[in-house]
Amino acid sequence: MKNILILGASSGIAREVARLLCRESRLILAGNDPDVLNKIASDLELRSQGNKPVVVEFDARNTAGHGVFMQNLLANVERIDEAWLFFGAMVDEADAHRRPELAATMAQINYVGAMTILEHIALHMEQNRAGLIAAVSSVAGDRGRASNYLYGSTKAGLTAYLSGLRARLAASGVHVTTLKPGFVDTPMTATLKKGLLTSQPDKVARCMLRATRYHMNTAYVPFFWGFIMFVIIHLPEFIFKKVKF
Amino acid sequence: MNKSDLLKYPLAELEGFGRYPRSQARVVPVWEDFMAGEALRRRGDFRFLARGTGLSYADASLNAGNICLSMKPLNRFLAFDADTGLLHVEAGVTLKEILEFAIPRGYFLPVTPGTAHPTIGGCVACDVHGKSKLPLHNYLKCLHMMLADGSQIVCSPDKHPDLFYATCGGMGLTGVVLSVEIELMRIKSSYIRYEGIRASNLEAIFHEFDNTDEWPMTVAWIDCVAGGGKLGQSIMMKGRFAEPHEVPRGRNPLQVANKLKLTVPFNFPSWVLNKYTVSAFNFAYQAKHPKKLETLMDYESFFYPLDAISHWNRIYGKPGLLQYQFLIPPEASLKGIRTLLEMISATGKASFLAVLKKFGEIENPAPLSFPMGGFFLALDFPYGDGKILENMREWDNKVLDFGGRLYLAKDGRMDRSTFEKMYPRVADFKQVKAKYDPGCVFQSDMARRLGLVR
Repeated sequence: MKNILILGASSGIAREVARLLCRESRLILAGNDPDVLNKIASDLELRSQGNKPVVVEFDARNTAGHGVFMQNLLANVERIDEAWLFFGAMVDEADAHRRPELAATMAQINYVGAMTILEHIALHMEQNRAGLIAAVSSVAGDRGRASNYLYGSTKAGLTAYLSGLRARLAASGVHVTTLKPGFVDTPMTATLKKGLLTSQPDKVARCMLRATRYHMNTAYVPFFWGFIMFVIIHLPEFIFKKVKF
Repeated sequence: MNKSDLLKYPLAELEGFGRYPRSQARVVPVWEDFMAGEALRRRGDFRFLARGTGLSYADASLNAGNICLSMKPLNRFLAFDADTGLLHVEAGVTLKEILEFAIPRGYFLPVTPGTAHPTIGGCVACDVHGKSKLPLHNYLKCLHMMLADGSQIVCSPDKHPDLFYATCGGMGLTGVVLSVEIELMRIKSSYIRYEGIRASNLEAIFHEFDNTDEWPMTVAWIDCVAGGGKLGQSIMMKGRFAEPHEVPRGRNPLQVANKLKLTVPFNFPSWVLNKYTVSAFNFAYQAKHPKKLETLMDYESFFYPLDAISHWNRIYGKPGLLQYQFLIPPEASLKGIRTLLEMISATGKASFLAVLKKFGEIENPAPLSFPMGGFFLALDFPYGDGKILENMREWDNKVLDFGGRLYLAKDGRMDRSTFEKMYPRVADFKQVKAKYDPGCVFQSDMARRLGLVR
C-alpha cells in the first residue's frame, strides 16, 4: 500500500482528493488543526472500510521546523510515495493594500512554506529514486491581475518553483505535477461571488487525480481554464492594464 | 443598519427544486460545526436558515435578504455500528452517499423520498416519507443540533422530546441540525421484488391499496388527464426487498446501482408540456403496462426513477413548476380525491406526474409533520403564466372541506389561515420554537409566509 502525504488536508479540495485515495493507500493527513483532521480521518476510515489515516500536525509558516517534521514523519512511516500539497491562504486584497504585512504572511504560507517542505520531500524522494509530488498552484499565478495580484504573485512563485523542481527530479524518476485550479467553491473563496465558472471541489478532485495519474506536468482544473488563461496571458499589456478584473 | 460582517458574503439567487419562487440570500458555507457557531454569534440583525441541496420544491430553503447556512460541505460519516445498523452522519451527507456506504454492508435507508440527492438534514426537516408506511422520525435515534446562541444540544424521543419532534418536519426553524443518528434497515439484497397492477379507475386503485399490507413500499401513478369513467386510472406499484435467492446468479445481491445518467441540458420552452404531450406520455406509460407485472428491479429504478435524468425540472421551462400534494383523512379519502381530481381535470391543466399513496392510521407526534392516516395525491404543474395559483387556491378550500392538508416541503403559496387550519398543532410548534429560539433567529421565506415567525 502506498503512503500518501497530504499537506493542508483540511482544505476543501484535499478532503475530496482524500476520499478518492483512501481505499487504496495509507494517508497521512497533515495540517494545523488536529481536531478537524481527526474528524476527517474517522470519515475516511469509515468510507474506506477501516483504513485509518495517520494525523500529524503541520504548520506551513514554521519553515525552520519543516526538517524536524520530516524526520518525525519518516520515523513513523518508512517512506513517502506521494505528496500532495494543498495548503494556501488568500487575504482580502483591499485589507492587504493598507496592511502589507498580511500579504507577507500569505507569501510565507503559499510560497516560502511550500518551497521549504517540498525541498525536504524532494530530497527524500530523490534518495528513493521514485515518487510523485502534486502541488496546487493557481490560475491566478499565470498573470498578475489588478484585483488579486498579491495572491497571484505568491502562486506565480510556486509555479516557477515547481517547474524547476520537476526538471531537477526528472533525472531521479520523481514526477511533479503542477495543478492550476480556477475558481473552486471552498472555504478560501467563501466570500467571493459564485458564477458559471465556479467548480465544485469533488469534480476538481477527480480532475486532479486524473492529471497526476497521467503524469501531466501542468494541469488546469477543470481543463477549460487552460483556454481562458491562454487568452488572458496573451492580452497585450496596454489592453491588460486597462481591464478591471 | 445591519453592521454584521456577514455582509461580506455576496447575495446569491436561490431556488427550490420547483424553481418557483426564487429569492436572494447570503450563503455561508459550513465546513465545520464551529463555522455555524461563529456565524451565529456575529449575526447582527440577520436571520438564519440551514440549507442542504435545496431540493424541497418551493420556498422552504429560501431566506430572502438573510443568511442561508450551506450545510453541504458538512458531510462526514462519524460512526457506524455494523451489528445494529446505527449510523451517525453529519447533516450534509446525501442519501446517495449513505446508500453507497450502507448497501455493501447489508443495510438500506429505512425511509427515502423519490430522489437520492437530498441531505439527511433536509430529510429530517421535512420528515420525509417516500414509499414507506411511516415517516423518517420513527427511525431517528437522536439529533445533534446547534441553537441560535451557538450552543449545542442533543435531542431524541426521550431527551428534549419537544425539540426533537418540532425539528422533525419543522422545516429548519428550530435550529441547525449538525448531525443525525439514524437506524438503518437490514437488507439481504438491494434488488426490489416489484409487482405492478393496472387499475382502471379510482375505486379500483383504492381497493388495490387495501391489499398491500404485506408490501412495505407502495405507491400508485395516476393518469390525471383521464376523466369520466376512466377517472383515476392508474398503476399500483408495490415493492419489497428481494431475497438473495431471487437475485439472478452471477449478480452481487448487495450491488450499488450506478447507471448512466442523462441530463436535461437547458430549459425547455414552457409550451413543451401541455395537455396533449402529457396525455401522450400517460398513454404510452399506462398502455405498455400489462394488467399485472411481476419483476425484479434494482433499487434505483424503483425508488429513484427520475434521478436517471439530471435537472428534469428544466423541462418545465424557466418559470418552473409547482407540486400540489394533499392528504385527505380516511373517512373522506375517496370522495375527496375524486372531487379534487375532477376539479383538476376540469381546469384542463395537465399534470405530468401524479402519485397516490395511502397511510394507515399512524400516531404522528411531530406537530408540523405531514403524514397522518388517509390518502395523499401529489401532482406537478408547470407554473406557466401563473394562473395555476388561482386554481390552487380553490383546491385549497376543497382540501380544507375534507379535513385534509398540504405537504410543506412541496408548497410555496398557501396562505397563513389555510395553513393554520390544516395544521391544528401549529401553536404547539410555536411554543417549542419560542422556548429554544426566543430571538426568532431561524426563519425562512416559508416561515414568514405562514406566520410561523414573528
